[in-house]
Amino acid sequence: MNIDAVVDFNHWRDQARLLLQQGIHPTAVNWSGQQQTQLAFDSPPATAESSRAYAAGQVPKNFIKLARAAACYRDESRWALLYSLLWRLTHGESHLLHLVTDPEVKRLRHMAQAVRRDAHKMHAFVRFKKQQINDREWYVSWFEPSHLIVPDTADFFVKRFNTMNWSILTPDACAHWDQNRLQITPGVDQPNALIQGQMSDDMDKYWLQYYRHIFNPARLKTQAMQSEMPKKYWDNLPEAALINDLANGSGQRTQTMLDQAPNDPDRLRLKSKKLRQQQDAIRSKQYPSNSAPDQWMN
Amino acid sequence: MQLMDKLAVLADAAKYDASCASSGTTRRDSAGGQGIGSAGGTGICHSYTPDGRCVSLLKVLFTNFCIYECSYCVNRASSQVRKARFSVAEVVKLTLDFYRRNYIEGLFLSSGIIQDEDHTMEQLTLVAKELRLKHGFKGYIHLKTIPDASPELLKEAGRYADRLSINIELPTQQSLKMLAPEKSIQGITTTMSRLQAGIDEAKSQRKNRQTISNRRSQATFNFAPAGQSSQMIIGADDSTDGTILQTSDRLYSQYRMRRVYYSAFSPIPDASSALPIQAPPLVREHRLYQADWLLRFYGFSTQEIVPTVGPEAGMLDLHIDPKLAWAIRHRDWFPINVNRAPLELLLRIPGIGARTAHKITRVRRHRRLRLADLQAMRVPLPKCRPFIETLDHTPAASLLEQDNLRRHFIPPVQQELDLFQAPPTPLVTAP
Repeated sequence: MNIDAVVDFNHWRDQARLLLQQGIHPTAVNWSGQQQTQLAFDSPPATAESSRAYAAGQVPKNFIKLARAAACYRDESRWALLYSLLWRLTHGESHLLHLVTDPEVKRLRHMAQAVRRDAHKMHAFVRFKKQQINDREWYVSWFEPSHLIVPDTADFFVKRFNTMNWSILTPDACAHWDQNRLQITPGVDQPNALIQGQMSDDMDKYWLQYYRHIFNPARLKTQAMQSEMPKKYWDNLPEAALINDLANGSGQRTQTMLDQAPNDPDRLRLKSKKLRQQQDAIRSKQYPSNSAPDQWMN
Repeated sequence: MQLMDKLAVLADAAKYDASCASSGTTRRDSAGGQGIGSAGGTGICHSYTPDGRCVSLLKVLFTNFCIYECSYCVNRASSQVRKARFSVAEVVKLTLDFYRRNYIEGLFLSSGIIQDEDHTMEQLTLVAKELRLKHGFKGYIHLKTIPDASPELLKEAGRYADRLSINIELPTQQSLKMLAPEKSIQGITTTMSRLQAGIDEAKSQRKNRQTISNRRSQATFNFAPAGQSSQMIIGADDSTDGTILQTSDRLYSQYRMRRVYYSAFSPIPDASSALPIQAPPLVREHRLYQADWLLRFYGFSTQEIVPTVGPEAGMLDLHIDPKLAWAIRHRDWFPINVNRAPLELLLRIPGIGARTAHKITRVRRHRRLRLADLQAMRVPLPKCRPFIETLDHTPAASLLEQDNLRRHFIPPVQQELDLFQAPPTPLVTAP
């Protein structure tokens, strides 16, 4: 049995429901949809115990959640895996998802996890550039997700940036919001204007300034940075261009701080009567004795 | 001074505050065309700097002018670093402009203390108020409260902020007196109690409203729904890890802190001579965070986590994690059978995290576990093997009885280094 290219979770679910109703075993289904349908619905090999209807109640809620996420995983084998798991869940292994060491369950969880992480990183790493398009302010972003997550993540951006016009362009799909309607359109190549840096935004330089100065050169930990912000994302993060210089210069900057002679803490107190009075007033402040529990005072 | 320069100065001034959380607040968004932003899901880290820290919020000081003389602080009165001061409008604009480009989750605003406490607190609150009321900002706002700010101002701040915090700074009154003479435990804990009272009141009002009526009423009392947090500087005074953790324990139990942050004192520009020259190893901060987790999520007490006797009394082992160190000191608890032991015991096994422990309890309902199953759950076997029993594994009794079990877990390179570099005296860990 061949199933034509499945496009998304809902599409898969409809197909899977039909197959399950007919009792078609997972090994008899070809989900790749490559060879056109010579065998389609031509004498389906029904199993001995025949079909059980797949009602929502029969499948654990958690499976739907995991499957919905795994459906965005960039790997054509996902549809066959999902059907195989659905089959097992409805054929005597209803506790299947608890067997975290089962190879198929592990694969499902791995896929769902990867997709969630990718969506999380998309929420984090999309960078909008403010443009004037047809006299309207429009925020534009180019992003390259690892998985097929644009339609599912668009909702996050709609809720957050509801009162802005924006477009997120990716190679797989694009999401557009005009404060009224969300549109998902086919993927595009990276616009030349973005590659060549013509599409600029004045705030980028403030952001870079902030990034430069919130960094503490005395605690260099590039490994920790990279495990959370892998290099594959750097191309589309304006601040990533600063990383090498900041990291390379950190040793020198720390040494300069260490070489600087320390300061006398009373230096200013001795010079400024006003400061001395202000500080002394605060230092002599009395608090009711019951304001801090005793054990604090040791 | 140009905004660009102010941003540099006031970000430089803010970077020593470790907090960056943006999670755990009320769920809200701007769907329906009201204002801008959303919050209430898991926190989002929008970038990472090469120090491994995340950038989640625009973290700046309102001003780094300060009349306090806290020795560990880059902004103390006597410091000669450049000083600057934002206007309320400038912080509001930067926050919104950064937010619209998806650089940040919101704002973390702190300040040096100018004029008096109430004046400083007023300025911070004004920023939050403008963001919320004038711009309908739904993103995350964390305000640092100023010690001794009036209760009325705290109440106002709590109305607009998701989180309020006040740093304990140092674990004892003595250390504060020595290194932060304008601060005191009483002043700080007084504010913490006020914050807690506000947070509790708002919480109980929310609860009551739900029980009285199912209809959602708009007029609700809001007060820092993401709770309060605090921070301790590590290595500026000679407090032991035991003292530090006891202080954290009190902060968690008495003021129900969401988090206590540990910030290992690191070299700063224009340091004070009242500070030790030697910065503590960063790994000490890391061990304290691990210990903090044991305290909150693993059912350990401070007395268990930090050795109370012996040459290393009061200090965490820098070479191995605190749970492993505890296990080595308490071998009579082991081996623990992963197929039979209750959850509380699973949580005591080195190398097994809280999530994995829960996973084990789920899987073993359906089948007995072998080492390969643990491996499939990504448990680091070399670490936990001496301490566990599975269907196919019982640890060699001799291993648990070995005198130098600890050596077993330290990479050879580190052991070699130990021979040549004696760690600073209070940190001696080798048996």
